[in-house]
Amino acid sequence: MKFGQVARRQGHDVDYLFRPDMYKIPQYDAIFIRALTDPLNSSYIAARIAELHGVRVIDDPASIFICCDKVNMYSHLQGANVPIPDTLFFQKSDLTIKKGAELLESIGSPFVLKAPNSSFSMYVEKIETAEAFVKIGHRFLRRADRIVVQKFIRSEYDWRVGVLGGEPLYVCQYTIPKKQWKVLTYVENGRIIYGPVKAFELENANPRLLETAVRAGSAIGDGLYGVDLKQVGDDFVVIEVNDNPTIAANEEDRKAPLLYEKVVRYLMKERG
Amino acid sequence: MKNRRVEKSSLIAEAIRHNYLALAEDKININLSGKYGYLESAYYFSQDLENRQETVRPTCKEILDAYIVPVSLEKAKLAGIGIPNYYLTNGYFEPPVIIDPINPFMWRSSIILKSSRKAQIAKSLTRNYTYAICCQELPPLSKVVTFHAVMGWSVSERYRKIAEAIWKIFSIPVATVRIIITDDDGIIFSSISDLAFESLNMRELAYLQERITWAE
Repeated sequence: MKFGQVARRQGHDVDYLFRPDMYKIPQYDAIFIRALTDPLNSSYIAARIAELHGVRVIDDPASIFICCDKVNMYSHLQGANVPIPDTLFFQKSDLTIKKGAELLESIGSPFVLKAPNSSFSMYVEKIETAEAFVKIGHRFLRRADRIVVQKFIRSEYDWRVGVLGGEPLYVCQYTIPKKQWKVLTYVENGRIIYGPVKAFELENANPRLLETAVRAGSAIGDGLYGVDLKQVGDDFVVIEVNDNPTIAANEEDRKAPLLYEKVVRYLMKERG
Repeated sequence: MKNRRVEKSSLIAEAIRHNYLALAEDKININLSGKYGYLESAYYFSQDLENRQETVRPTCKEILDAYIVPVSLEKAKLAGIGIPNYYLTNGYFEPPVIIDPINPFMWRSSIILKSSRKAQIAKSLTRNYTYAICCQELPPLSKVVTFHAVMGWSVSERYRKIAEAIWKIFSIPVATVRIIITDDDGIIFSSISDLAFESLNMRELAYLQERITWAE
């Protein structure tokens, strides 16, 4: 809603489009997608139809299909020499007790196993035994033909840096709840446990944090990203880059008053 | 007959040995797996090549353009290929239509000719109205047909022109193409889907053999 208000204040007309309205996309100057993105969801269709018709779009299709597949996302980060925890990709034939034991030895115990198309911390598990590697690996391989193994880095919070068009947009900390190891944890009764979001002014953020986040965003594209990082000593490592990052009132925007204006201005650049 | 079977199985074995990777006349890598589903092995095979900055057909983006039905329709339309009227909906539709689900859990399309079970079908294909469906309107007296397209060629002469166009637009070397044949014998494009390399017949394999060399 706030994006709409800000865009109107800047003199633009704003409409809300839903799935049956997609045929109208070519009539617009720009589209801002605020829906769960996945190449197999209608949000990707909206993005690609916009792109095919030269309509500026956040999130652009490439950002969606790179970020929604962690194998592709980490490959892009590795290719651009962005610091990430030790990361390896595996397929079905690799899922053996022997390989699990080797990984616990080489990458460290525990390590993290991720399905490539996971989001909101789902299908991300901490692995402490070779048997768990095989069992959970098989479960994740029902969703894709590859899985991601990553070194576990313990922390009390994740940094989230919003990046737009190669510039930092906002900074906050997502606190990891006590006795948990992920920002979001799904418990048995369907409840989600998550910690508070603490916002920071960009001016007061560590320049190395911002520089690392911008490099990560640029490894994916020129769009809007939420870059998650952990601090290791004086350095920062990128845990993942998210397209379509959450922007909630009084959370991500709390110390970034120009966030909405910047997104609208980015969208309203020259078409194409 | 036995010799042809042996010949086919040895061609397939050779393709597997080369991970279905071939070079076309223009020396571009061609991923010939035919099963390019999102996050499946062949998809990752193209992705690996792209991330190593090597040229490959199809790219991941080309795969998604071809396999996501409304995107393929829009891309075909912009390239001047005839397509049916289509719309995305959360459940409402009017038969006769071809319905393709837009969700990560369902791929199989349905042809709905009568209105009698419309509500149940809508509920099922949208997974309780959670996901969208893409509906292609079927013109009166039309037929829905599929054929194999192999690097822009089809065994059937009738489909060679559209097979060539599909290859140029979508870069999918091995595909099942769904078309609608109208009552005046016109051909309109409807969708592209998997065609496992192993399902190719001898004539299709022979055609491929002429067009490619296996990559090392």
